[in-house]
Amino acid sequence: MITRKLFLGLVLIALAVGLAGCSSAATVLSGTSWPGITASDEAIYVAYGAQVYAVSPESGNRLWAFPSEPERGRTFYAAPAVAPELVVVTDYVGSVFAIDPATGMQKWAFESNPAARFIGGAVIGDEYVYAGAVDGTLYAINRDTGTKAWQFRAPRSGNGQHDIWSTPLLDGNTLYFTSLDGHLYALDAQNGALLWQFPAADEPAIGAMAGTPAIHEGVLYFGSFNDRVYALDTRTRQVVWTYTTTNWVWSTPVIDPEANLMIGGDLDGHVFALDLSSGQPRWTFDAGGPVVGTPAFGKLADGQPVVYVTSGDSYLYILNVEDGTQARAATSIKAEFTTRFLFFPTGTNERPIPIFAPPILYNDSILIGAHQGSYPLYALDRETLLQRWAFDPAAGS
Amino acid sequence: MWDLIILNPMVNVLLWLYGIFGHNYLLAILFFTLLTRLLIFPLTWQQQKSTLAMQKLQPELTKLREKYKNDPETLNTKMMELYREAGANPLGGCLPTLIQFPILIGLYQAITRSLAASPLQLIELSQHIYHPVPAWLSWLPNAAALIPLNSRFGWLNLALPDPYYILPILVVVTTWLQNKLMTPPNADPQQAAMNRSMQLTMPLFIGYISLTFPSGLSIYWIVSNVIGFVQYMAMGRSSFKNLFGTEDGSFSLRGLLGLPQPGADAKGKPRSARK
Repeated sequence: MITRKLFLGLVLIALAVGLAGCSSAATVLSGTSWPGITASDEAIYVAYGAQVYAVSPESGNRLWAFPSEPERGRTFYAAPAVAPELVVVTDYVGSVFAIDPATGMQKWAFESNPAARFIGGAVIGDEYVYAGAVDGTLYAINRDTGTKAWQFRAPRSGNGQHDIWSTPLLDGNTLYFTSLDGHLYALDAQNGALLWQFPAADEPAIGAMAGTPAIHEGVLYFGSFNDRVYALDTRTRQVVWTYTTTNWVWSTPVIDPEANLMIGGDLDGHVFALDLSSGQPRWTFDAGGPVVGTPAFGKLADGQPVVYVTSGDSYLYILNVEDGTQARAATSIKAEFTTRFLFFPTGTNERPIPIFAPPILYNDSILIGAHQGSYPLYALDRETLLQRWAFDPAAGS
Repeated sequence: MWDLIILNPMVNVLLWLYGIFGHNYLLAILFFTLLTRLLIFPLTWQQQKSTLAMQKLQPELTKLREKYKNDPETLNTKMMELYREAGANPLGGCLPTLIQFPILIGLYQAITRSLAASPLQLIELSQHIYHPVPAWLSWLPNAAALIPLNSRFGWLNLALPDPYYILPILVVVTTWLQNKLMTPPNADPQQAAMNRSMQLTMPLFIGYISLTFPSGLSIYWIVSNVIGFVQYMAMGRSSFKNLFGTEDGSFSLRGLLGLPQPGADAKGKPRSARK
């Protein structure tokens, strides 16, 4: 006879299997996004979680935090936009803040719909600050006062979802932004008038787009979730070429005009170097995990041009721009975790973590943002690739 | 292995169904539930046959209890022999519920991934979508063109719990009904007490879970339960006997609640069977 104990045991086994399945997924889904990092001459600005921080480039110490005390429900992830005497950040409850970079004090705040998060960051123009929200609204905000100048809402089309997840691109008097509705929009930056969209309104949308386009000599380069990279002439609005890869293209491509080359990556970990004119691949490289962050061009100590690529497999790759071979051995980024028994901390350990934030070259350092572990920002020595410092938000100034 | 066998197929099937049903995630879940029930039909059919066999055994079980009332060990042995010979399972309707646990867990993960609402979730989703699809599947909707999904239906956001608790209540009621319908009354008071306990605790437990899980998952569970007891009734038996605990299937509130019938004799014969 099946006893009560045996039956309950079977139920517990089933639950344990279920919890095991759930817990492995919970590790990956524990965060919302990776830190947004912007470096200027004075400081490194990090948006992560409840606050935005200014960090000393030399020591990694906190210079200030905004807001000074975390506010319930308010989170920041998009990379801050930086201009002289101005830092602009967007948050997950529909707000845009202008901050004094010297003191961390608020200059102004713009409040839109609290349900419409800003996942992408803002871009600062001469007169306005531009930012797009998940409800598909692109706002132009007066740079000095924080009042709304105009807004643009995409007409219903494509898959019906109009979320703007990317940071807009400002080129002269034209504002470009991509949308999850599968279109790229070009607006008049002064008044928000729609100049054109790609694909046209009467054409099928291409895949959702979450990355910011890059522009060079009037040609936009951007990736899509339909596994393609596009080169689009802004004057003719015609596609110059497309490149097909094997998974979604999220990262903004990086352009080397001298080499007539662009480099990007997809979520399968493929890194590709494409000829700017033809879109033909000059080389490809397989990283072990999704490439989400924009690669960064740099030079080794001997002057050799290289490109730095971060990957979801925890590695920082340094590739020769010429042929895509590894110029240096890949470096695994490890983060420190607190180990616990039940609720009690028992110590710390290190393990590799996925890196989705772009590598940022800053003087003699490489800045790496991390969304797992104890620290959201690491500075590695460009020569030795050893850690110089790790930014601890909890530590005082 | 879990991703390869369970999660990835579920994510992609949900996306394809979403595309086929005009970007309606609710219809995708409903049809997915139907597909799932079809897949596990051999298991549930077997279980329901076992339940019917249990019903037929009740008179024999009563005789055994009378014969071995002072020897519980021999009674248990004889009862198990009888179950085995008849191909019956005293756990009644509980096993189909347990079988669906991996499906439930996989579907929870598939729903939360496909309704990605943050950058990390969207990156995670990209790792589960088939890239590229084999040529023989190219007629299916392009998953990339469907992202992001529209998760709204009426008052529901299918990626979030029901804010008005309507679905969790329906989860409890339909789970309880299915278990009750498929678990025959047991002449053994100890077994009957255990069945009553399980019929109460399992629906409440699942209802409690559904308070925090995506409402899309609750819809799956409710529809699956409804299909379950429609399937059982389609077997053409008078299954109200199980529901009310009466031999002729007549209404009995006490039977519905799993309580002993009033005026039943010491052997526990149901009221309508008394002479």
